[in-house]
Amino acid sequence: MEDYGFFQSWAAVFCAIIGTITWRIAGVVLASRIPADGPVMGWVNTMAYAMVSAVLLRIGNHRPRSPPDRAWRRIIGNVH
Amino acid sequence: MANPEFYALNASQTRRNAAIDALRAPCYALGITMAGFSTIARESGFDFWMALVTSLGVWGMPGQVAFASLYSTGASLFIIFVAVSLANMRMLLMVISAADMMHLKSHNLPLWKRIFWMQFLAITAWANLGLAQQKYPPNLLLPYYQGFALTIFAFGILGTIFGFFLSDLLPPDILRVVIFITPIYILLLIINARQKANRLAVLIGGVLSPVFFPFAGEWAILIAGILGGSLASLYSRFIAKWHLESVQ
Repeated sequence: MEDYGFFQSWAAVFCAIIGTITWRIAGVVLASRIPADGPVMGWVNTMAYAMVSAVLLRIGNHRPRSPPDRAWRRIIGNVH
Repeated sequence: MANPEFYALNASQTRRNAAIDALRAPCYALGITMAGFSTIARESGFDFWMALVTSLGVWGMPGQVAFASLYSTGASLFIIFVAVSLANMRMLLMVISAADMMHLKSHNLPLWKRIFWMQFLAITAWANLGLAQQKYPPNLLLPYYQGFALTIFAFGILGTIFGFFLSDLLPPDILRVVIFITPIYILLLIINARQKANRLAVLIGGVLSPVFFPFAGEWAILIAGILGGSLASLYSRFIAKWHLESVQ
């Protein structure tokens, strides 16, 4: 475990964005190929509901793992 | 089914209605939740611009929280990519589901415009679209989504901006608690989904997620989603025969 440099920090942001946008693009492409009233669309919908429910119950379990003083030093270094 | 009074509206009136719906409560909840993310992000070592660009580019709270948590531990870029992808995999299903609700195909938008509009899709807008579906005719759901999603996006970004500096004024513990506001609101919204199968899916997915988490970690969301959705779908189709039947 080590601190990120400037380049690595932004590469991490880039990874997070790519990790999300890819799903959105795939969703747009797939949406036009799945018949609207078919069983596959119904299945996709139930999975979306179940996954949203699952993810909402995960948000509550967030535990910050960084020692606050170290984080604060980095913030002061980055912002001011 | 759609309410007759909403049939007479045009696209811009629908957008305005949607913005008003968003201004009633969801935009504030989301703004506060994003302020909570900003606090976590700052604690994790993000600078202001990183927190802002993450909100603009990812626009998916669970993935953002996973990102900030991993960043604070100094995880590798590959781990960050995999964890955020897993936490936000539901975007794939939500985009397909939203495109289906809005009859996106019938609007004949070019691919880049469809992707552009779907960038603003997050759980709140998707869940509210399910609610709007019960009032508005399908051809007005795209304008509704545009009005609603842009309003909450603006508030979410404002929340990110103010939240980053708010921790100078308020104790971080308070801001960490506000992150729960939106999840509770959304859970109430989706448990009242129109289709019984979807309600069952919410229930099963919600129960399975904490069960799988201790040994499956971030994969628990994926497993709970696929398993919960499939079980709900199979039950509704072959046992209860709910398909195409709506909750009254």
